[in-house]
Amino acid sequence: MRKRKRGAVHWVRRGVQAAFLVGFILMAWAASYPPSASLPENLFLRVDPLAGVAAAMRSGLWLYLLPAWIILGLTLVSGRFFCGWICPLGTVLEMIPSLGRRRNKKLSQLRPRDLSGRVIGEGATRLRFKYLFLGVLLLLLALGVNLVWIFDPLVIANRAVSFLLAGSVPFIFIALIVLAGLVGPRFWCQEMCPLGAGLSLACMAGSRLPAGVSPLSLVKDQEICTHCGACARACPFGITEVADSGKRGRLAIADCALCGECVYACPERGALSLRVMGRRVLGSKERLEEVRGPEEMAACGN
Amino acid sequence: MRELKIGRRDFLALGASGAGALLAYALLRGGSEVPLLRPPGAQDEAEFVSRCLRCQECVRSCLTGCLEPAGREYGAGKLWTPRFNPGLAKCEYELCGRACAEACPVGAIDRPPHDQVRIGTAAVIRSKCIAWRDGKACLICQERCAYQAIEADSRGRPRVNAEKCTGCGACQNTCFTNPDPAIVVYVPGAAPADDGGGNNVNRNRGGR
Repeated sequence: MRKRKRGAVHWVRRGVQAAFLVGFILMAWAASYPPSASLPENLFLRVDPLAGVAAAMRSGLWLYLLPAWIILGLTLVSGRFFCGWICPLGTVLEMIPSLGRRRNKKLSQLRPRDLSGRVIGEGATRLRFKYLFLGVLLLLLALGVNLVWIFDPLVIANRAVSFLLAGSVPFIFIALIVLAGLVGPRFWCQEMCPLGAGLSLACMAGSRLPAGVSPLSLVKDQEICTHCGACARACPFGITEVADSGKRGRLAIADCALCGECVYACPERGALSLRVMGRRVLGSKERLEEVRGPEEMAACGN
Repeated sequence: MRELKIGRRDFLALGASGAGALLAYALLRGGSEVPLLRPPGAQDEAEFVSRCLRCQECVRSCLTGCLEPAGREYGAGKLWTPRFNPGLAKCEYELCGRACAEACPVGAIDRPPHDQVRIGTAAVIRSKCIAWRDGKACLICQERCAYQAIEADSRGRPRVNAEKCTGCGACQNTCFTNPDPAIVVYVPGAAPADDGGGNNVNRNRGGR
C-alpha cells in the first residue's frame, strides 16, 4: 500500500499531540529561574502515575500528586488515551521512521507469535514481559530502590529537554529513538514502558464499564465487522485485538491508545466508532457513500 | 489450564532491556558511591537518592546555576542526581525562595528555615592556602563569607567556624587558587575535624 489518505481524526490527534509536546518543551524550558507564580512548571512530572506512586510511597505527597491520580482514574474508565494523545515521548517516537512498519500484511500475519513463530491463538496466554517488568520495578520501589528514573517516559523526556538545552547528551532518549527506528515506532510504548503497562492494568480493571460513562471509548459492532484486518494494519501500536475481539460495545483493549486510526481505516460503515461519553464522534466509513457491496469490501481487506 | 507462551515481541523487549542493562553496566561500573553535596534542604543521602527522579527540574530552576547532574564518576546509583558544585557558583538559598525545592515534583528537597540549612561544612586545605603555606596576606574567603563563619587567627590565616558555616560555597567559589581551591565544602560530617588539620602542614611546607 502506498500513501494512504489520512482522516480528520489523524490530524486532530496529531494537533493535540503537537500541542502537548510543545507545551511540554515550553514548560521544561520555563522551569529556569525564577519559578513562575502562575504556571506549575513541573506539572508534566506530576501527571505521571508511575512517578506519582514512587514519590507518594516515600514522601506522602498524595494531594500534591493529584494530577497523577486524575490521569489514573480517567485511564480506568477510558484506557490508555494518555499514550496516544498526550505522552510527549510517545509523540516523538511515533514520528520516527521505522523499519518495523507492517502495512501490507494480512491479519493472520499481524497477530502476536510465540518463539517458534506460531500465532498465539485461543486457549493460550501470552506472557507479557512489560507486566513482569512493572512488577519488578514496584517491588524494588517497596524495598527502597527507585529505578523509576531510568524507565519513566515523562522523566526521560523531561531530562532529554533539559540535557539538550544544556548541551549534553540524553543517552536513554537516544537509545529509545534507535529502538523505535529498528523495531517499530511504538514498540517501547507497547512492549516495555512501565507507565504504559500500569495504564494497561488500569484499563483492564475498568474494562466492564460501558461506553456511556467513558470520556473516550472505542466501540465495535460485531454484526457489521468482517474481520478483514484493516484496523490491525492501520494501528500505530500494531495490535490486532480490535479485529479479533469478540466483545460487544466498548472494547477496552488494554494496549489500545484510542488514537482512532482503526476507525478511519475500517471499510465497514458503522463497524467501529470513537465515542465521547457514549456519543459517537467518529464512525467508520461515514464520509463515503456506499458504492461497494459487503462482499467487495471483505475482498479488498484481506 | 491455559497454556502460557512467550511472545516474540516480549522476547525482543527482554533482549532490548538486557542489552541496555549490560551496556549501562559496562559504562557505569567502577564509580565511587561517595556522598555528594546536595541542594539545600535535601533529605539525607539514602532517602534523597531513593526519591529523586533525576528529572533535572531543580538543576533548571537554580538561580545561580550551582547544581549539575552528577556524572558517572559518582557511581551508577547516583547518575544524574543533582549535585551542588561550589566551583560553578555559590548557593543563594536565602535569596532564591528555594527554587529547587519548589521545582521538585517528588518532595526530595525540604524547606528548613534559613538558619537550619546545612549543605555541608567548609574546611581550609592548608597545603594549598597561600596564607597558611606561604604566609601571604589573603583572606578573600573571609571577605566573601556571608555568615561570618571564617575567622582569621593572630597571623592572619583563615579558620572555619563549623558552627556558623552553612556550606553555601561562596568561599570555595571565590578562592583564587580555583579550580583547585584551598577551601572546600565537605558533605555534612565529612569535614576534617580541626579545619584542615588533617593536612600535614610542616611536611608540605618543607617540600616547597
